[in-house]
Amino acid sequence: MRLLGIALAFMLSAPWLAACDDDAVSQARRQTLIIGKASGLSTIDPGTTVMAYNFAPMSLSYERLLRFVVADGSPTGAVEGELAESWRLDDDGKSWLFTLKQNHRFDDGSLVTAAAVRFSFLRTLRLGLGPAQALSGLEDVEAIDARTVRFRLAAPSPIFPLILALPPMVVINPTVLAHQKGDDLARAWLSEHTAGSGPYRVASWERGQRIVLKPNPYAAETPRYFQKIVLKTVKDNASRRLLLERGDIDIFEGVTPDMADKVAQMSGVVLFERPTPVIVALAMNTTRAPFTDIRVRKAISLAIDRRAIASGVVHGHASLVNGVLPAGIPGHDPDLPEVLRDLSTARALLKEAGIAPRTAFTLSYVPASATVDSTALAIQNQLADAGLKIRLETLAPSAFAKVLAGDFDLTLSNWSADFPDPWPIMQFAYHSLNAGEGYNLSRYANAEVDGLLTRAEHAMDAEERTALYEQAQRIVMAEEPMVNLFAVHGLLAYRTDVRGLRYNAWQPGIYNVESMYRGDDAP
Amino acid sequence: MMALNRIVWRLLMLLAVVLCVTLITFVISHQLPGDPAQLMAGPRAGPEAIEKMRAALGLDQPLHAQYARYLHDLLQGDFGASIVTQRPVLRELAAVFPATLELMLTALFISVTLGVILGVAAAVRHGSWFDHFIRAAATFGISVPSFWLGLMLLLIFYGQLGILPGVGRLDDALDPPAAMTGFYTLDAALQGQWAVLRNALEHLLLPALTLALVSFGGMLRIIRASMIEVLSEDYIRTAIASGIPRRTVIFNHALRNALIPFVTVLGLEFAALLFGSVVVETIFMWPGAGSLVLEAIFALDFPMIMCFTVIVSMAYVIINFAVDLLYMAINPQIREIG
Repeated sequence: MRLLGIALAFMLSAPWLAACDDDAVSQARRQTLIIGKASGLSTIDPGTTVMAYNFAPMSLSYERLLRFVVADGSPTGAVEGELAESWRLDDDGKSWLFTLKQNHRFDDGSLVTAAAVRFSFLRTLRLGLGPAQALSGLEDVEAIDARTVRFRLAAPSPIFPLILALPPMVVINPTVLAHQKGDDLARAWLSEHTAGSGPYRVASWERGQRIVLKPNPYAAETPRYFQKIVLKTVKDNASRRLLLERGDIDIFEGVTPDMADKVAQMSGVVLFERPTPVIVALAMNTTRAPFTDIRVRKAISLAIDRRAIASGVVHGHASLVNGVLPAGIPGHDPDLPEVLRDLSTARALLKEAGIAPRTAFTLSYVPASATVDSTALAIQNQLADAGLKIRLETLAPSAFAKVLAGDFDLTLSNWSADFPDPWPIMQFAYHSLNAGEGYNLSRYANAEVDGLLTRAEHAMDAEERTALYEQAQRIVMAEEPMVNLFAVHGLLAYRTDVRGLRYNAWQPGIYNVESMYRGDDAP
Repeated sequence: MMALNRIVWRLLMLLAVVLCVTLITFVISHQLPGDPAQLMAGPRAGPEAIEKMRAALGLDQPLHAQYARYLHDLLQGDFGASIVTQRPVLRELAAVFPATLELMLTALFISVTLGVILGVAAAVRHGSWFDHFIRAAATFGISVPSFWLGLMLLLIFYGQLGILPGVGRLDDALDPPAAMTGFYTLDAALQGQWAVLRNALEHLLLPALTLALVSFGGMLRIIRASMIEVLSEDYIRTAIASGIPRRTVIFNHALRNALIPFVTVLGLEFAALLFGSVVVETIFMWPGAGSLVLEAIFALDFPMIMCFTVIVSMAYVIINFAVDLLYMAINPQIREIG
């Protein structure tokens, strides 16, 4: 009992043990940037992931050859050199030559060389996972000398420099091969460690909880102010909001449309909102009857009230997409008329296609958020008005494979572009080569569209490309394999004392922490 | 001889239970929707990459062959690699286990302290208003769900009053002490990092209190009932009548005897805390085994889920076995009857 008493007394007196260290703790807090993330990370190996929620530590720990130029929260479509001092199209018209900047060093002090660039891209290709898909036209990478590297493509690609600015296209220190197990190309090790030349490096990772990054002592661009970054996973929205309100996180990712207005009213908090090209769409399985019939697809499109969903479900924090391409992407036509709900035409088209009233279909989707659930419910209700019975089938993320394999009637699709070009949307959502796993979820196949998209992909003339994409867009709009519901707005909240943030709403989760600072502490 | 037979029989039962648990978890995890090969290969991996992964994981083998291979690896201490991180799951679990143990031991310390002190006090004042109040508090503790209690404590002490930290083991600005025991409080104290110690204790308080308040009710009731029985024994009355101070009689004579059934419950309570910590760790974002397994459940990380289940089951049966042995040691009747 006496021992228990001593231990209890010790615990109760503990809060006064370190009063003298409060200033040091407070200073450490000021130089720590805490980012509250809505989901945990699965891996930080750049060669294996294309999921945006994994990008933050990658973008801070590694450098790419090029990076997007951002203005007012959106990419301009231009790129600037990060590791690359200069770049040009080679004489053969399909290879790209890059010259590296001098004195960029990995976190072990070794120089970033052309050989490291070659290693990184060949590793991605050999792994053959998500990031390799964007490099499908890449045939070889040659290190010509220590600072010059050539990317040899199978065909001309005007967007290749933009692809190289994507977050997974980083340069990795080839010494990671010392951690290789079997022939995994150090995949296991890189899934939780970093080996890059970025301003920070991963210091520790408590899975599902937080990742801590600290400065890379050899970085060319050393951090201006923050000596520690904590990427803290707080899945519950209300908890994340509470932590922001109490100042225990500085940046609040994943502000949902239903809480945006309340967050905007919080004192000491700024809400940042910009349109993005993230399109939420209802994809119809064009290989399964009756969605093979354009009249049925048209009827479903006309039965949906997009404006009601955008205002009711997303609380106005979204833009309507009247065509295939959202605003900000070349080829977007702002003059296209809004698709208005027309129930009588929808019913007539269904009747004409032989669809009896109360015919049942299944809408399969992953309930990733309350917004997705509400969108599915709204679709169910709106299609009921047209006489269709929609069953909702919620899927675990891993069970979404059945949708990718084509075993579904209707599904909710969420597609985006990382840079202002029609290619990411048109190529992946509508080219038959990408049916299913390639994320052409509606499994749409039209030889004419395929031909136009392939020509556009390799056309080096900007005007010609835009014209080809516009032509493909018109055909897709006429055949309507997907109903584009809305384009979501990027929402981010942060404490007012966080300064210098240059946020790109098209690439959420990527920050310029190295040049950010707190309050009036501008160094 | 009968005691030996009983021990051997219990050991065989123990093995059978563990084997059943491995079989059930294995079958369930292989029947759930979701393809581990797809998960490991990544969301946009092509069919070829997925097939390659399936073969590497042995998922192209028949189910019984997969189970035989799983058992074979298990016997060698290999619980497999995480689908998400590719690292051995046992190592991953071992890395976070000190956090869970620190929380559980603190909770156990609080709940035992509360249970014993209040249980004895209620038994001594048997039938009084104080006794009724303590019994009501114990019933509340047993009935209230830990997730509700945790959220309430969090809202009051962090959200409203702002006097205790909300989540995690330590403020994000502070670096954890160098790992010696894995317990932040102990490591910070051993290294003289008083600011870290204070911060770690503050972070520990709410989750430990949540676990303790939920578990102290059962302990209190056992101590109270046991003390009431012991206090009515002739030798206690004799001790009081012979002039021994009442305090000495209660704590030195009565409590020692009343603790015998309590000690056996304590072991099982400790194992129950391991499961209870899953919920509490999630609410307070405590980076322990509970949080890890919940993450694994969401990610369908089967090897991790199975490793946690098998280890917790083993802990349960081993503690049960130890309790049986303890009972046999304490109570000769059990040894005789078998």
